[in-house]
Amino acid sequence: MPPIRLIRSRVFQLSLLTSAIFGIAAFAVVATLYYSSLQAVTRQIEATIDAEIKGLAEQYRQFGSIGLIRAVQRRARRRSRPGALYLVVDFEFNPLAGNVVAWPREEPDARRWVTFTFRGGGAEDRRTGARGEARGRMFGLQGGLYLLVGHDLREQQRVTARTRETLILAGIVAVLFAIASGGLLSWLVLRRIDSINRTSREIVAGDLARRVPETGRGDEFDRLAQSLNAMLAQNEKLFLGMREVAENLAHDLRSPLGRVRQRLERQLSDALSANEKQALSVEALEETDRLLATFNAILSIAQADSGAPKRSFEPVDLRTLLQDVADLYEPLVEDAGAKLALALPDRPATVRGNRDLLFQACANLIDNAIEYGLGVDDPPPAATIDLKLDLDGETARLSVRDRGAGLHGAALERARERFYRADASRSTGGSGLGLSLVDAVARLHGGALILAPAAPGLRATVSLPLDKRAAPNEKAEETLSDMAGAAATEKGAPPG
Amino acid sequence: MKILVIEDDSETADYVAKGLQEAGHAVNVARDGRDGLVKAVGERFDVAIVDRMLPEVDGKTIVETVRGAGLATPILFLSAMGEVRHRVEGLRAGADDYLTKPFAFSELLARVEALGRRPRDAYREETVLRVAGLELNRLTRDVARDSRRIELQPREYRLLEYLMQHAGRVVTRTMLLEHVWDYHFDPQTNVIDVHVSRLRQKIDREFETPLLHTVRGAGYSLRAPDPAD
Repeated sequence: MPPIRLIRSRVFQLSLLTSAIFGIAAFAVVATLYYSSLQAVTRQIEATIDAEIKGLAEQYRQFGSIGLIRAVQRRARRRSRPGALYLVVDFEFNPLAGNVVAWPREEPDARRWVTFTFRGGGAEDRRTGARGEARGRMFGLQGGLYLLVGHDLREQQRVTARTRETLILAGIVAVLFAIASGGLLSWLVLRRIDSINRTSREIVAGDLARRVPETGRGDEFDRLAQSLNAMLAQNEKLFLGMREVAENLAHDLRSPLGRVRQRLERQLSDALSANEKQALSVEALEETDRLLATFNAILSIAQADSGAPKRSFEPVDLRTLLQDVADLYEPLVEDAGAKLALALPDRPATVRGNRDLLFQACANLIDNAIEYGLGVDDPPPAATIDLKLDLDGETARLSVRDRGAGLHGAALERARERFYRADASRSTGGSGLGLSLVDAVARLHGGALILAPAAPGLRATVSLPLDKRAAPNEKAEETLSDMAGAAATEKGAPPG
Repeated sequence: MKILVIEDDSETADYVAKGLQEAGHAVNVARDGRDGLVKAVGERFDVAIVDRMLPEVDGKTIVETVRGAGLATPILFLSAMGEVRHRVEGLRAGADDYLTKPFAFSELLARVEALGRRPRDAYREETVLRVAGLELNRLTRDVARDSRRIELQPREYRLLEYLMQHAGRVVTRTMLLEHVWDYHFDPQTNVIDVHVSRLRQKIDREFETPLLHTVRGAGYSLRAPDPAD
């Protein structure tokens, strides 16, 4: 990974930031511990020194100068208290006893504490003549003697120095570790993001079938990949659907437009009589009307798919609607040599919807039943088209059943697609849009179109959710009519 | 009739104006919404044709303003969008009829003439409709031709009633669907023709002169025989 990209990577910056915050916090903790332990050690030393002074002062009180000098000499030789320093000098600061070579030149503070440089100390130090720093307390005694009790700080300073070095080293290691882990994290995350980026570039370049690779670990990147892939699959399906619609549209419009053109062209011929010319005009007009009908159907499907008609939804009674459909279509079905059998439930079936679109859907289903469901050559004398409404809980099922050849296999699956015709030659009438529109209208109303073989024939069922708000009104109406029947009671009817 | 056409697309406006003039009407064209509104409110017209999408003031506003001013001028709403919602909106705004572009001129003419000569209240009060020897009594629902009683089914009665209300004029299949069956949809088949031919069987078959005529490329017309024939 190029270093510039690494530094610009948000993950890298974030992991460095986290490391920095963590580092500062850790440093604060360690520094606090360091200083408080340093102070504790210093207090410990001072307490020891005070104890020594008390002991020596006791000696001095009991045995005078000689007792003090002897006690100092004894203590200075002891090996059990390394780092303990003693010195007794006379009034001219000549050393009389102790393990420090000379009286310190440093001035003591108000409490006679002093931090000083000394030579001497233990036997080893006396031989090498090493200098060291010490902390101690001075006293002037009666009789012109001066006493110094101190403690060698070198051991403590060595420990402090080593702690400091360790801390610095640990800090450097931590910084390196932070950079490394930030880099690793960025690399791991960027690798996944890069694969998503690569996929989207390839899709933009035209390869719609590309998908974001999944690692199968089920982590959040896999989940992201899954939802992206689902979206891509849906888009691809829609896009391919649109492309197919556009191609089919071009294909379906070419022939009728060609026929219109031929007729208009022939009209220009001088050899034709006025009547022949008029007949050609009428034919051309009828052809354009069919073309317009195709466009209208496509627009209606698109509008139903867009959901826009929902804004003008109103309660529609399906029983009335089906009655009207039957009323309009019965003569046509009879003329086709069949019978239209209408079956309605005995209670109201109200849905929220657009009555014109619902009517169109029923009309399309019946048109289909007449066109494909009666047998092309000789409709059987008892051929019946069933137009039926069933109520099932909160769903209304509106079905049209014919007794023709029906649809099977792939044709049944694809019948809802725009421009799909079971007859591949496209020679039979119809735009191939009828069922697509029914499907779109059903989905617009929150329902579905189900096509099923009915042996013999085809049953097309549109399921629609019933209007729940209509139910209480029905009850109210019932209550009102009940009350009217019972010549009214004193209790008022609930407002309907 | 004196007809106002408010339409910004000059090709459509010219085509509509020319066709209406050829049919014997006086046409006044407004090219934008503001001009159209001034004319619609300021002058008297028998019918106004209003496009939905217009520069300056849109069609819906024009309809609402005209109605708000208390004018009852019949208005035909035109729209390039055949969306159901727009149809409903147009009619709610106060338009009397609605037509989607692209339209057949015969459809436009039939609707304009139906609107223009609609003496709405007079029709409502008229109890007996007469065309030549055909008589329809709206109180008793009796139909007779040359005093011979004709039995009609309810939907045939409604169909004949509408045709007689518009006697002498062309009535399109869509107009019949919208006014007799009260649904606006695009039939894929000749579903209306079957009804008309059944009605024709009853009112014309046993009589010498046909009254119910098919107008090719347009629709139907119920009319008294031309005295010149």
